[in-house]
Amino acid sequence: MSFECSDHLNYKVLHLTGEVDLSNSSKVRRCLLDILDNGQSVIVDFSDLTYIDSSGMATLVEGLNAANKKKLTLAIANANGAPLQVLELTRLNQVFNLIASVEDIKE
Amino acid sequence: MKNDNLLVKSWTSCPHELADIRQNVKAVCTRLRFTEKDTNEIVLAIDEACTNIIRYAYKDCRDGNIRLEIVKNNQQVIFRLHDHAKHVSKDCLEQKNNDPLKPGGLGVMLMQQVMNSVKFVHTSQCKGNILELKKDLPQESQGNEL
Repeated sequence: MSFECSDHLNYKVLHLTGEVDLSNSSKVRRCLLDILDNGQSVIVDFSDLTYIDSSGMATLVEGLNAANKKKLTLAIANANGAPLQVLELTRLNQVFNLIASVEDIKE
Repeated sequence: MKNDNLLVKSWTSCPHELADIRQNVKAVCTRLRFTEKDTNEIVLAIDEACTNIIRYAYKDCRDGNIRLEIVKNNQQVIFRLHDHAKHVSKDCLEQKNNDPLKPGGLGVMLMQQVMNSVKFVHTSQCKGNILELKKDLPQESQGNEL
């Protein structure tokens, strides 16, 4: 798993590549919470994410709760395949702001 | 009922082993002609079970052992996960949290949703725990020799 950060409008884009599981979800957590601690809204880009487990989902939920407290936005872009199935199985697809692509975020 | 052995393999209780466990489960599911969607779900359920063994049975100790045995009968594929940790309470398979926004319980929820049954098969002779997860085979694989 690897991740990269970039900017889009006034959002940080956290682009995840590969598989997020117990072995690496703490790295994603640290990066996500750092972005939010800096007062920036974030789009988590799933386009190259092939797998995410419940530890990864719990990280995103923690991020969402932190974002809500700070009145920031956390959105998920390009969810498909196995990661989208996990969002649906956990019903978190009803909780997160899912957007078709990073460019679809509203300012 | 005749059982066919499909896989017996062991790993250490290190989170970095999870990717290889997933690969092995995926290969068996493909062989059993599960759809891609069902395969993804089964891989997730077994990964969640292994994650719980690492976190709660071995308490993040990395030198434990996880043995996965996969067998099939005419109707179902059966995944048995053996560990050598202290006996865990059967209560840990109860869904205590239905709110996905509250921490904890997501892994158990996923296992229960995906599989047809999830239970511990403790025996007095057995050291550790055996978690058994069963899934109905796709129609075209039922009763077939592999």
